Order: sequence, then C-alpha cells, then structure tokens
Amino acid sequence: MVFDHQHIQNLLDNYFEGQTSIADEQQLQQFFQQKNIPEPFQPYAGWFQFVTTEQAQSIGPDFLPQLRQQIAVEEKPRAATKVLRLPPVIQRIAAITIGIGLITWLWSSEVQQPPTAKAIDWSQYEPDTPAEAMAIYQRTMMKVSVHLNQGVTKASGKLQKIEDLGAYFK
Amino acid sequence: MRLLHFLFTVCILSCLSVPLTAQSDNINAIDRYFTKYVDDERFSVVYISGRLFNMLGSLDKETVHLDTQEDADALMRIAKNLEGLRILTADQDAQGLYAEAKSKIELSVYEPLMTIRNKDGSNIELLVRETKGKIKELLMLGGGEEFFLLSFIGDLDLTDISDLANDMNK
Repeated sequence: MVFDHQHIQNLLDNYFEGQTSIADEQQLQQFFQQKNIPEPFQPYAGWFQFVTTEQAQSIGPDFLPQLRQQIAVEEKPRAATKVLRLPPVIQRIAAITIGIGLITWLWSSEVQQPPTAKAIDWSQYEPDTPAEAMAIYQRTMMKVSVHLNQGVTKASGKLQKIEDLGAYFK
Repeated sequence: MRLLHFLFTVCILSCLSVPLTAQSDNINAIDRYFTKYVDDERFSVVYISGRLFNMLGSLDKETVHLDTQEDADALMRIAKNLEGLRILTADQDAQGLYAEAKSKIELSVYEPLMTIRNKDGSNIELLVRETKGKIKELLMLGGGEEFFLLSFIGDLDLTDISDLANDMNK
C-alpha cells in the first residue's frame, strides 16, 4: 500500500489537533505498521505502534478480580476504631444490675440515717437551779465512774487469769 | 456519655447525703431512738443544757461535795466541755427496756466501749459516737434494778472520765 506523504502529514497535523476521525486514525495506524517508515515520520512510529498494540488487547475474565485484588493491596489500612457492641441481653443485664445496685445503695443510705425525730422540748426537763444541776451531774458522774471502774476491774481480773494460765503452761 | 451521666447522678446523690450526715452528727441517742420514752409516764427525764454546765463553774466550792480538790477540778474540767446531759430512768421492767433499747442502737453509729454483765442479771453498756476521731457522745445504758440511759454530748475525753473514776473510787 502506497501512502501519500503529504496526506499522512496532514492526517498527523489533524490528529495532534484532535480533528481526526476514526477512519483517519486507522489510516495512520496502517501507515505506521509498515516496515520501512520514511525518516520524517519515524518519531511518531513508536506512539502509533503502541496504540495499535493496546487496541488489540481485550479484557479477559480475570481482569476484574485482579483489579480488585490490586486495589485491596494498595488500599491503606484504616485507623483502628473498635466499638464495643455488647449483645442486647448483656446490655439489659448490665442495666438491671446497675439499677439494683443504685436502689440498694439508696436504700442502705436511708436506713443508716436516723429516723425523723419528733422535736422534744428539752428545756422543760431542766433542773431549776445550777445547784440542783450540779447535784444531778455529780451523782451521774459517780454512777459512770463506778461502772467504768467495775468494767476495768473485771477486765483486769480476766487478763490476770489469762496471764496466770499462760505462766502455768510455760 | 452514659457513663458520664451515671457518674453525675452518683455525685448528685452523694452531695445530697452530706447535709443529712452532717445533720445527724448533732442528734443525740435519745432524740435519735428514744423519743417515745420521753413522753412515757414510766420514765423520769432530766436534761442539763450546755448553758447550765457553764453556770456550774460559778457555784460555791461548798456545793461540790467531793473528797478532794482534784476531784472537783476534774469534775469541772469535764463539765466545761459538755454541751448537754440527758438522763432517762425507769423502775419498771428494767431488763426488758434494756434489751429493747440495746436493739435500737445502731452499731454503725455507736461503737461499744464496754459491756458489763453481772451475776445478778444486771447489764451495763458503754458506747461512744465519734466524729472525725473525736468522741462526741458517751452513751451509758443500764438494766438491773432500774433502767437508765445517760447521754453525754460534747467534746469528751475518756482519760478525764477515767481519772475522775479512779479518784472517786479510791
């Protein structure tokens, strides 16, 4: 097939200006497929041979899986954000447990508080004079001291017995 | 976020419980547990207020019937720190009243100091209520020939009471 060099030059000019039709481009590809390409057109030969080779290739059935695999490999791993999602049953059990705990705590706090005391007018039970108050205070302290000493004496006696027993077994 | 809500609720409840606890610090055992005894005809009730205790210091020395001046000084030293003394006594069913009273006292509030059980069946119980490491109330409960309940309120020093007891029983 003989090509008119001027015609090829016109086609090339149109090609690089984006003015060529598919038929024009096919003519250019045919031109650059020949073995002896004239020297002025040799710089364009590589490009048109590449286009011809690429168009000849078709997409095989394994193209899409390969592409996905490649994307998966190239895709950067996302930052690890772990959201703890408990099963609904566990969530309910946890909510009930917290509820029971809170109620128990409130109940125990209430129990520890003293019962609401009826206001007592203590002034009506006061002695009339400081001397009378002194006598009562003195008698009360005497009672406290008697029992305090009684307890201490008993405790000392028990301790002495334990010490005596300890000495016996030594 | 839910955890924050929970913690916020707990904080609010804790804050609410603080005034109640603070209020309960000033309540004596009789106001706390035995208001019904005060109105009961079987009981004799005596109250010496802090104001009366302050007046005891101005009494003549002759009014204080103690063997030594040291005893009198110790007695007045204790009185100086007392804010109130409440006394309940009853002649009937002393053992029953003792058991009932003892069961009402919360051991989470009052710490037993001494328990004396005599062969004749009489019982004495000494308890203290502390706030911030200081004894704020001394409670004495007795059930033998008569039932008695003594509640000393104020800044109490057991050493002073013990010293007085030793001196008085010499």
